[in-house]
Amino acid sequence: MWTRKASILGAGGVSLVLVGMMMSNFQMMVFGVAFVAFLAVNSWITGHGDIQVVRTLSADNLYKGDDLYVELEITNPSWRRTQQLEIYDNVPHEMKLRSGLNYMRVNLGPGETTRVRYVLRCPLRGHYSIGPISIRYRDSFNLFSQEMYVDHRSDLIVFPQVREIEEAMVRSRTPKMYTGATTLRTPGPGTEFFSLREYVPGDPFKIINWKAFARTGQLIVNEKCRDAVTDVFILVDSRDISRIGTVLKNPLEVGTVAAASLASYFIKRRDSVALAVYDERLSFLSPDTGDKQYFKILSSLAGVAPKGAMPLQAVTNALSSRFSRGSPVFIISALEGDGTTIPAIRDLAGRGHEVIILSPSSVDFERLVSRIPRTSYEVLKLERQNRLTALAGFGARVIDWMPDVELSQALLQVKMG
Amino acid sequence: MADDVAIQSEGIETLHLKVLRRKWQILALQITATISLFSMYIMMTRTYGSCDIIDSTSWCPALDHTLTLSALQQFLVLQPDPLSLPIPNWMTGVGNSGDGRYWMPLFVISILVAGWTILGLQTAKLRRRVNMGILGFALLYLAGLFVITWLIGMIFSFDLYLPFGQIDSNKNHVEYLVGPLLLYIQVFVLVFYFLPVISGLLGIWGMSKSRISWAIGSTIIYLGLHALLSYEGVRSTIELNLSALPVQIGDATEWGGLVAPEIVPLLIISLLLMVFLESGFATIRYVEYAFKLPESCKKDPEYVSQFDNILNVHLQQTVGVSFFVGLVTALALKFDDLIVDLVSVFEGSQWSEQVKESLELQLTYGTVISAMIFVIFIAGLRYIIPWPRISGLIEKGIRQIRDQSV
Amino acid sequence: MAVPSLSGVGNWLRSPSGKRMVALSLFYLTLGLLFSTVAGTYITRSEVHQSAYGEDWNDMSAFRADIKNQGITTTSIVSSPLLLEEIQSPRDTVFVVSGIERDTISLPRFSADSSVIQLVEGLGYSTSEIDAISNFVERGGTIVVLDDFGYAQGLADEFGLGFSGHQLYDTQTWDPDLDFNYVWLNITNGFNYSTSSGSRTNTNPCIADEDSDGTPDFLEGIVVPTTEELGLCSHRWDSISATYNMDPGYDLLLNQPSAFDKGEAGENSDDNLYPIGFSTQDAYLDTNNDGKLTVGFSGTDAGSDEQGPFAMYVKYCRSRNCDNPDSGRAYFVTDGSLLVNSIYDTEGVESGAYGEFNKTPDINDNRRWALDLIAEALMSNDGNASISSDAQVIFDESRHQQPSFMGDTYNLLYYILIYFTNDWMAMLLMFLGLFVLFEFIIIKKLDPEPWRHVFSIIYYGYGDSRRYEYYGRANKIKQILLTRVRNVNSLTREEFDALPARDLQKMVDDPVLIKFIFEDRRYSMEEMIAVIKRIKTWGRR
Repeated sequence: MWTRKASILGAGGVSLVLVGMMMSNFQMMVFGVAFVAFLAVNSWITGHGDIQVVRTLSADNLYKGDDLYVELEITNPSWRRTQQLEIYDNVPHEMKLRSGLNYMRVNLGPGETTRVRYVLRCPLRGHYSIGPISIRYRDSFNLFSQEMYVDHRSDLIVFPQVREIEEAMVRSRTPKMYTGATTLRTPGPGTEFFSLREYVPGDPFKIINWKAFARTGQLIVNEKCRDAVTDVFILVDSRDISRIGTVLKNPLEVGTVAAASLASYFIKRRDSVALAVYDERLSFLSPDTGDKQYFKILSSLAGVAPKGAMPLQAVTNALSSRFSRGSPVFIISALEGDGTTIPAIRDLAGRGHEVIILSPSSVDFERLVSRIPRTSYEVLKLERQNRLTALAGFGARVIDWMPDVELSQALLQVKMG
Repeated sequence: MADDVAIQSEGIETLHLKVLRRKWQILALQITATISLFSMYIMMTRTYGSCDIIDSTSWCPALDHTLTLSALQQFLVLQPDPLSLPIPNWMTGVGNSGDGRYWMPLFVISILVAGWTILGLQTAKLRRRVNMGILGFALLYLAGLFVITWLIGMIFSFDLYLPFGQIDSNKNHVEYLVGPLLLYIQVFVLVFYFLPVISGLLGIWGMSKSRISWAIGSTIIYLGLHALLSYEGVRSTIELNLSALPVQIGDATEWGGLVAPEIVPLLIISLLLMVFLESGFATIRYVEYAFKLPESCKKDPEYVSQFDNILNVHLQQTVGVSFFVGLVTALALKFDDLIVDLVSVFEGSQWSEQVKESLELQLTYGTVISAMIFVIFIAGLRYIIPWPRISGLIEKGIRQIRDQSV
Repeated sequence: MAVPSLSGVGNWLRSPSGKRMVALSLFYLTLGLLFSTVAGTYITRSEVHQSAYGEDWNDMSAFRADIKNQGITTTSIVSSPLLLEEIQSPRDTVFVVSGIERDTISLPRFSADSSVIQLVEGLGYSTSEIDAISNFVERGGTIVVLDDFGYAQGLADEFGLGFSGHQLYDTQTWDPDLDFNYVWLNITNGFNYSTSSGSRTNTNPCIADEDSDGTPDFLEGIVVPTTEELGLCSHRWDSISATYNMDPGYDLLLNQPSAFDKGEAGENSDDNLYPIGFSTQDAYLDTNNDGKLTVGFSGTDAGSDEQGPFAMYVKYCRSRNCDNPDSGRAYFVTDGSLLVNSIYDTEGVESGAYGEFNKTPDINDNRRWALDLIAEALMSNDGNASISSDAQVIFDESRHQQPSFMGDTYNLLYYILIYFTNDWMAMLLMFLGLFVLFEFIIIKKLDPEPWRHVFSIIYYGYGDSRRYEYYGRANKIKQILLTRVRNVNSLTREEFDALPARDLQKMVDDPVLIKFIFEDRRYSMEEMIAVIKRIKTWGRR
């Protein structure tokens, strides 16, 4: 593509020739021809974007707020010089450049390689993709430019931050009925040693006690104690209304942090954790424990976006068959704009579930972005208070979570039902 | 995986502005631009700097400051109270002939621009002070003596009077203004004629795109004015004595029979104009890029080596492209002969005969039109000959030879 | 292979891209039609003739060869006579127009008269071209215009002449050996400019004989002149008989001639227009164009042909009686085929050089006449027969049909270029075009933006001022207070609704709030704030 300069030069050259003809002034014509010749000669020098690019990331998954190191290795495999190329790695705009630059001007000779290194900070959770690599050829005199891209992308997930809440959970007035994995004195799949027994066909090899085998010459296997596991259900409200506030501070954002932290806490305790995210529909991760489940939960939480308006009662009804009997249910919701909240929680509590509601105060989040009149704010707060009081009245433990309060602090504020 | 990604390294060479100013490629670009600017100006004065009537008393709007200064000097000498211009002739080039008229002013301008550039590197405070100092001195020089003598005159004569039109010539203090005013007029004349050089130099060394544009703009305006004033229609109406270029191109006798002698200076001027423009702007463009890089990139050897690559290739291409543009333009202007030869392929046909003999091809029209056709043909050659591949092969070959010798 | 279904085509036609494609196709179709119509008007194929570069019997190659043999440069103009403006030495240049066979593209132009703008150009040469030719003559150039039924009228007008455009039949001087189309034009003295001027043979260097000794001035004292000494008058030298022909008269053979309009042939010598050759009195102009000679009673009857004599050869000189050899001249003859090979080169015809032509014209003076005028224009009259090195004869080939389409296109392209750089109106248009082009580039042509990473996280924001207003209303506040009372007292909605007012008052136990609940009136802002404060503290007691 011709640049503006080339267009002006070309049009100027032709105009000079024509005006020269009009005025019988051959000097103008010679200038005009020279201008056009300059363009013609420069058009021979064309660059190319047939380059090989390899992007290496310091991590494929990271927590919100962490730094990501990126390196682009750019090689010109052809026999031609690339000429002046601008290399630009397309970075999601939600990421912030910490150091270095995702842009470089290069002029790679045949077989030459260069590296672009930069560091990104990821302040927002989510599923991201870095790339493609945009390439723009420009000749030395900025007459022609051409844009291309190398379709090389690197995916990464930014998990919500996980807060340390163990102390808060211990100190909180939350009943300790789900005290983590406790060993039952019966053999089964677990972590702690229970006894030795003879090998029976079908036992996996990895449980064979080789030392005992060496000693006795008989195949002996280790048996473990069966872990008693509590199923913890975490319900995250990701409805459209949960976006109230700023991009970094809103009920959904703090909610995902809370859900991730709770999941981390319980999984560490070898409890089974189930996650239900409801927005325009319900996404449910069945209860399970272990690193894999932890990764699944974080990955799921990384991807939640505010949308839809699914009522809570629809969620609890849909999950009623899956809720383990008497298992604790954490509901992380601002409790706004949903008339079914109270009956849903009343039903849950009625079925014997321990319901803990972690409710980010949406009015206060809203206050971060809107000028709410004082009277309206107070009335809104009163209304919210009424709602929380009503819920507490049904036996739920309600935490009114203010924006500037840390999760661990908030957990200590649990109101008794 | 985290271990695979290294952080940016730091090399000895960096892309900081201070380093860039001393980088040989940048200096080479700036010097190329400066030399082409000077040469272009000298070529322009040679081509557009003469009058029809060569006579020391006649003035014409040619690109020669000495004509105006001499005319001014003559006007002053003829005054009842003869005056002379304050800046001496050896400095302005008046009285010299040929290129000698321009060397001294160009030298003085270079010194002043160098001073200005060095001043530009100082702190803002010092710059402001020097600027204020120069301005203050200029004002004081203009009106200082006039105001002081007038005030003293009034104090001593105990009378309020106007500083002009007095019978007592000692009281006509306004005469003190004449000298400084003449100096300013002389400076203005010089600045007017040397505007392309002054703004061009300031642009190249002060890294200002707008000043380079000014240099180009003023050059084009001077060329346009000359073309207009030497246009037959204007010449027949106003007697300007301006030496016009011939209307038709003569026989090609220069550059091994490639170019007509009338074309040579024009071709060189246009080439120098392009070299000046490209080198001047390129310097700024590249330095601007390096300046905007974050600190870590300025120290990163990868950025430094690619920056070097860009500059080296630019320098190579400036040489290559200038040569080829000159050659292609010269060949293009010779292409009308080739067209006649081509048409001769249809020897004997009515059309080929009349085209061969056609006035269109013999006049400048034909030359220029065939030149344009040739240039378009040359541009189209890129689809036939793989220039980048050839140059890449040559580069690879050179590198291999160099590696072997090492 | 997938065959697009009818509905698919229909859908595509209804889609924006389909509509766009159809509109574009229609546009280009219209444009193509328009262009071909316009181009077709100008590029009409017809027989190629009267070209100085053609070798046929009806071309003029023999004339051109004669000129070249005399050492004079011959050139052609293939685009437009506008180029005559570029001629540096018009005094040494002859411009030959033989048959203006076609019109070409021209634009409306501004004119000096009251009409301001002249929308329609005359046929043949455009006004700018006529101006250029006229200017050429004014600068000392010589033009020869040979035309009969072509488009020479515009040019003739410029010199005060009028081509009748009808064929002339001369009952006396037609050539019985050939046919009635061939007419002789006998001129006793080609240099009798006017009745008062007498013979001005001294205006032509070939027969200028000041001392009337029968030897031209430039050969004075030379018995047997060499070719060099004869200069451009060699055609008058008979090397066999070693005699020099001093005859000032010409017997010109014409083929299908026309004539100038009566009364316009410049009998008035004030305008330096000298009619030299006339038809006989028994000549008739086929004014009714019936192809027959229709003799009327008086010769002026409607429907009858006009009777002669008619001027057929007119010479125009810038100087009186053509006295100044350096001033411009124009020769007009009402026959485009005066110099065609079949008539001009009788020897060639006899030798069968022009195969197609099966007639044998008699020996005529066409060649002598033509070469005389070339000598008059290019040879100095100072007695030494010198010729300028710049001497050239230009043939106008711009208005001749070209033998190939490529030739026509080439000429047309050159014409367009030269027209647009010489004609004022076209130049104005081109200036406008260039201006628009530059404007377009400056406004529309934008360089790609530099790439820069911008860190921006979308601002969700939230807020609803109407909602805030709703929460400031007394009714809403009342409702919230009641809910609070109900919650604190652990009552169901039904229980609370069934509650007597007195019990409610007891529950609330705050006169201000009770009044607020039961009194329906407007509250000021301050009152409202006070009420809210009370509600806030109410439950905590």
